[in-house]
Amino acid sequence: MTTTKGSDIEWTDPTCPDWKSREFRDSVAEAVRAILKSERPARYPTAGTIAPSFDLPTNNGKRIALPKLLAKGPLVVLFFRGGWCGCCRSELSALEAWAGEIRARGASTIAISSDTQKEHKELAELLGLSFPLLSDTTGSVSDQYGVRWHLDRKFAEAHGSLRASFIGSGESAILSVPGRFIIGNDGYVVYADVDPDYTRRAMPYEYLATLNLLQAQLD
Amino acid sequence: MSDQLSALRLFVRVAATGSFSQAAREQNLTQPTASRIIATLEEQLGNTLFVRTTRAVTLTEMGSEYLGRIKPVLEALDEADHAVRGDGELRGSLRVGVSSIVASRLLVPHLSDFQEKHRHLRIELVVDDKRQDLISENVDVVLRFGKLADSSALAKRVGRWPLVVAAAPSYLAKRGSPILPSDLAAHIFVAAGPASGKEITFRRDGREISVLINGRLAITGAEVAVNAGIAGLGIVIGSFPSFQREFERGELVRLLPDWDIGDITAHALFPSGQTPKPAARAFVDFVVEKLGTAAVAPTPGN
Repeated sequence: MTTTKGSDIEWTDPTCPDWKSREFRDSVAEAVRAILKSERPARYPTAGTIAPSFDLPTNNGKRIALPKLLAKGPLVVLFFRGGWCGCCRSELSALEAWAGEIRARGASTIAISSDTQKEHKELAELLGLSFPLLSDTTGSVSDQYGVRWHLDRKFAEAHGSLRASFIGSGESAILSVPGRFIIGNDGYVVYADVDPDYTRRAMPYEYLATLNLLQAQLD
Repeated sequence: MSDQLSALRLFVRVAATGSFSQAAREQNLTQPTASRIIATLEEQLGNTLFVRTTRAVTLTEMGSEYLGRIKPVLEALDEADHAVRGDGELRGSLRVGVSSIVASRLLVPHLSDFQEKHRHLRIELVVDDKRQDLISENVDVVLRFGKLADSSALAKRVGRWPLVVAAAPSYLAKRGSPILPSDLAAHIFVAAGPASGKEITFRRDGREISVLINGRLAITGAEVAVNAGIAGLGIVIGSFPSFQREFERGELVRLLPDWDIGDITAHALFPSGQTPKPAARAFVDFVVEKLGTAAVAPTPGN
């Protein structure tokens, strides 16, 4: 775990919690192996394709639609698994540390999970987030962005010990995998990063080169 | 050119090219002579083989049927000649359609070995970076990289190689080396060749990152694009063997070598409805032997 001190940014590389129990670490490793082996969703919006639209409730009790967000400029979208996921909380905190840099480039940030508005509200307060969290409780938006993975029952059981919440149950459980997208204000995806291994986390500064390019194109 | 066999060969070529003058040129005839030979053939058959308009020559229904029967016969004759000679010696001419980069980097360096083996074969490389039409270009075989268009042509896979991204040390000194795929947004690409799409997907251990290619310079000739890469004008994308020489000389550096950006497949295409010429088959076997196993050694990353 490294802590980086930038000019005015102090933050920690997003990582998963330091799991003390060996048993728990093993079950995480098994879960990741199972996800990597499961079938990938047919597609996700790759760079150069139109970003699927959405209109979802936020942690502040309002609704936000994609076109309204894009009217303000480019958008960084993080799909995370839920507030119950320690690795996700770490990435959200890192994203918060860089949110100012993202805003400085004329862009905004949102994060989407299948948690409820109430759960998101608690999470945003816990982590002190300045950007909105959107509730995709049915998983339909995650589905359109290709981050909803179908897991078989055996895997879902193994994952259950991680206190994960799924959409659906029984034969086929659905779980989000982390996904990061940058959408230009013209509605096209310019960057997409989908990683089924949720223990690996993206550094928020990875977005800056793309945001710089989008800003230069607008000037 | 008075014999029946030559007349039939001419007929096949007129049908393929849709032009009396082009077919005549190929057979070293004047256009009026070619027209007369076909007219005589039509008289003998008591049927019209071609509809002639000012713009095109097309087969009649009868002509089409006749072509279907004649072609295999001519090919069988060629095969028989070849078999009777029995020494495996290829004769005549072989026209090969290729792109500039394949010709200069993959074929020319190996061609002398093939010519040594077949001293009586005349080879013509028809170099064009556009997709070549097998029939109208009258080539015996085309080597083509990338996806095959819908085609009835007979295809044989020649090889498959990883695609790589690369840049000149001079370019990297100026603009820095990308460490992650996301860094590429700060870079310039020279768009060319088979991978001149607008997006690249980088894959590693299940993670997929899709980025846009920011191209300020587009070049239709792949060979010129590689030279632009060597000159430091931007990042180039191509098959591993097409950059091998530059990697060995240090003129280009492979970027993001831990990431997989996909493969490119090369096919040999033969004109449809014909048995490939023995020379074309021998040539493709030679290409597979030389290139299909082309060493894909990892290059040191930057």
